[in-house]
Amino acid sequence: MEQSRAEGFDGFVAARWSALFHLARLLVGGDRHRAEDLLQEALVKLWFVWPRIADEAPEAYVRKVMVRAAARSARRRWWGERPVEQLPDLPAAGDVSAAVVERSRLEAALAQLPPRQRAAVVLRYYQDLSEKQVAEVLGCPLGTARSHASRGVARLRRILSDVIEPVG
Amino acid sequence: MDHFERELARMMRDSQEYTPFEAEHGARLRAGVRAHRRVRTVRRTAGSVLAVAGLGIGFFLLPHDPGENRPQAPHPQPIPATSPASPGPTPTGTAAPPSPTSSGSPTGAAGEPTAPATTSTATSDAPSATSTATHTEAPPPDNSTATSTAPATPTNTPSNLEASSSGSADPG
Repeated sequence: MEQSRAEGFDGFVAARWSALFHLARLLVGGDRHRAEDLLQEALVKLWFVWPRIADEAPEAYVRKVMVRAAARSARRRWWGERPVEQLPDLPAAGDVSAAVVERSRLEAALAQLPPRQRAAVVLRYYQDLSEKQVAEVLGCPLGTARSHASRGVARLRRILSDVIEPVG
Repeated sequence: MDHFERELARMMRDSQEYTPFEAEHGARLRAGVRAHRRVRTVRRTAGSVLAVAGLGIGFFLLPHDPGENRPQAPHPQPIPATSPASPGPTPTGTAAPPSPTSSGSPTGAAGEPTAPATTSTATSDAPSATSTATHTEAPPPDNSTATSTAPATPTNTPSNLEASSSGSADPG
């Protein structure tokens, strides 16, 4: 029983790790370590409900847990970071490609949004959820979710105006 | 969805890079599961201890008198009307249960402090008591009976007399 549970859970995590990690990274505004923490926290919660969720929609559950935790994260005062003498992650030489630059610009722009606006924008434009689904995942009324998404997009439009040229 | 929104969606999708699930991720996940399980166990244990402690304190603080749990003695039988001089309407209610045979029982003569003992003391003037009982056992059907029992019960004698006199005088 426990063995089959662990196998199913490990299979799901191995298959969806990359996509879920990217979602977590967008939700936290690009911070890789916070994204790992967020995903780990959501997957630990998934483990305890796995027998009930496994046959339904485990990815939707993880997404909801991550979005709500990311939206709450603005209230945290300290992330457990401690100063070190040497930087642990140094950028590699091949990281200066156009794709990396674009991703960095996007993540920097997302990091300037309030957490709930960022979550609404990511759910709406990366996960392709409807406004009603965004409201359900965020746990707020439809009008509030719509307002978060539209304000977030308006702010991103100003920040990324030099990257995405307006047409016409 | 305008051009900017389409470009935004494209940037979000294109910026995804493949990140494999490595062994260190799995180990960290297992450690997180174990820590979460420990926290849940501790929380559940603490909750149980608090619940038991709360129940114990609650039972301790309840007003508890051990004397209240003893079996109660049977309610004392109402004392029958022993003397005609006792005023008030009590003779009418108490005259029914005691019978003349109980008054003559030997337990009553032994002098126990129960209700039959008092009736045994009343056997000395039994004729008057029995006469009173028979008078009061009969329900007062109408004014004519009330006027006949008037001398035995002095409390309601004047009212009954007045009622009977007034009732008899009223039809006219």
